[in-house]
Amino acid sequence: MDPQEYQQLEQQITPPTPYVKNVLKAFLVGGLICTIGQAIMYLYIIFFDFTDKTAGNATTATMVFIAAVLTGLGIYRKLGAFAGAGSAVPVTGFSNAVVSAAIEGRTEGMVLGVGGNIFKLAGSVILFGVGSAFFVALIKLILVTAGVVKW
Amino acid sequence: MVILFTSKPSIIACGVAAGPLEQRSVFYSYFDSVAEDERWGQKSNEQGHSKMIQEACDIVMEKAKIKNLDVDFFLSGDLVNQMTPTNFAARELAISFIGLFSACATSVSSVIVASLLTELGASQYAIAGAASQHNAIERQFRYPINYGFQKPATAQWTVTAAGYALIGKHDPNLPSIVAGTVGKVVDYGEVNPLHMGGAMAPAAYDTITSHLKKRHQKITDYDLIMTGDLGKIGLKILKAMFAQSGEKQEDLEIFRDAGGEFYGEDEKFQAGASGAGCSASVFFSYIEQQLKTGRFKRVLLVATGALLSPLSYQQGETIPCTAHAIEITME
Amino acid sequence: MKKFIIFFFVPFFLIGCSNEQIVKVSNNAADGEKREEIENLIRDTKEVYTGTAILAGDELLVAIQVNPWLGYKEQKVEKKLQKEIKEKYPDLHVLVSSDYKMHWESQKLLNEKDSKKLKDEVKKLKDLAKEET
Repeated sequence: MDPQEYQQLEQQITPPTPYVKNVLKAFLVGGLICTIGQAIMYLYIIFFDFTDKTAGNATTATMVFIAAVLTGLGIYRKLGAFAGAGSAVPVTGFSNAVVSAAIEGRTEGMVLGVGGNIFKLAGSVILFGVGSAFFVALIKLILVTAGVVKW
Repeated sequence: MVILFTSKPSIIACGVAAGPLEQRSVFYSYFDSVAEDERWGQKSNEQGHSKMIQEACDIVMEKAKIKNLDVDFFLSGDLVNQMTPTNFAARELAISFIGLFSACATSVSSVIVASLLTELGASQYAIAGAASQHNAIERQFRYPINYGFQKPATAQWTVTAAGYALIGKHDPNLPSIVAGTVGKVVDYGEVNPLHMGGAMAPAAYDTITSHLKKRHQKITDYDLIMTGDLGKIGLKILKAMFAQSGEKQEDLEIFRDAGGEFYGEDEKFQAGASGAGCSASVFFSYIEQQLKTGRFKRVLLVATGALLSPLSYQQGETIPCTAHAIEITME
Repeated sequence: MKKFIIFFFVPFFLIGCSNEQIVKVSNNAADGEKREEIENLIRDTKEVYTGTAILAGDELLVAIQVNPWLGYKEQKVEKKLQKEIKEKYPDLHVLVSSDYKMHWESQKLLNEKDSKKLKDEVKKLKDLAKEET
């Protein structure tokens, strides 16, 4: 049996990825996370002196905190195994990536272990996030200078 | 390459230590010791891994009623970088030690080496086996433990278990190793590290067919041919390969997979178990006991190993795999 | 799984859709004509489904809620309404805001009788709206 024949056989037997099911799960859980976020935002607006503009940061911080606690308790892992992108894409997924890497590095001490590992997974998100933000801002600056759009 | 052991070294005693999650295993009742704590009370997962290996070896020696000074060789391996858990366990055991790495096939490759040493007359008693600890290995090969990500149906769960066997001179009342096959490294171009079964099945096929050919045997000459950790899907692929080569469908029932059966039908573990400790813990508990009771007379144990590293697949390399086999009989 | 899905659709049944605009202007303003005109100005802005105007002396706070589907127009609607009111009443300090906080607080101020307190509250809200972080 040559490798090509084998790969055909392998693909026949390997169950296909259930994309539709995965997308639905991601949609529901992702939506649920965002709904909780929205509820927390309204909480801040209604009971504290936050506006739409200022409640965003507080809400993000709260969601990050909740996800960090859930990661420590091992619950976020289970959620992620079920929801996939649904729990990875919201800011809570970022928190999960950072905290899980930090927990893992704890046995090697604070500096080399936690410090050195904490952005192992999230580092590329930060790099490309900051990088793309820079270029988008640059494009907008050029457009504004050229008089095409306003700030 | 098939090696015939004319002196028929015997498996004198076996010891299996497993982690708390392995209580869910269908082989649970055959294990000698199951820990409450997956770190065995140690500070790190790697130290716990080391402790688990020690515990399994202690069980082996206790069962055989010997001390570490009586053992000539300790042959073992694991999957952590530079095999530190095994090395550190060897430091505590104070037995002449060779570290072996065949990934998850180490459980059998170590037995082959131990049998050779016994055959040579160089060894009276040799402890051979392999181990894996879930957290330490996941960290080595994949993501941090608490990172949430979706696994495909082909993914397998690294077990926390250590399985060791004491190999000594032939004893007619004990299971004996009559032949072993050292496998070639086979690569059919699989690149997905979450589909180990698919990568390893060709290696298992290659090793089994060359063993049977050299020994002039048919698959039906065996009561059982058990692979290490192909998983449910990998085993299906292996059966399909044998079906294509002209084996009868009903004869294929002889093939079983330790990893595929390890956690039963629990869907949480997707395609089943994997890891060096998976084949070791099943071969050196369930299979050994079944041989002793006479339920199996002749078995072929085929441990499969994927020889990848996290670096190699990130660099886009395919996954080379190997499989080693031992033929064990009970008179 | 089925129960799970039904649970998610419950809010749709409860809320439903209504096309009715709700526009309220605080009673405290002495000038009835002014009240009506402001109300009409808000009503003429189609995108707004809830509008609340609080008039306290020369301070005017207009809190609007824009139809969620037209959320992307929010800023434009705000600006347009602000300009319209400003043109009509150049002597008023107007702030048109689509912020939920303004909406929520203005609902509470609708029945506030104490004009001194009302004015203070409106000023406080306007300061809050200017905060960036």
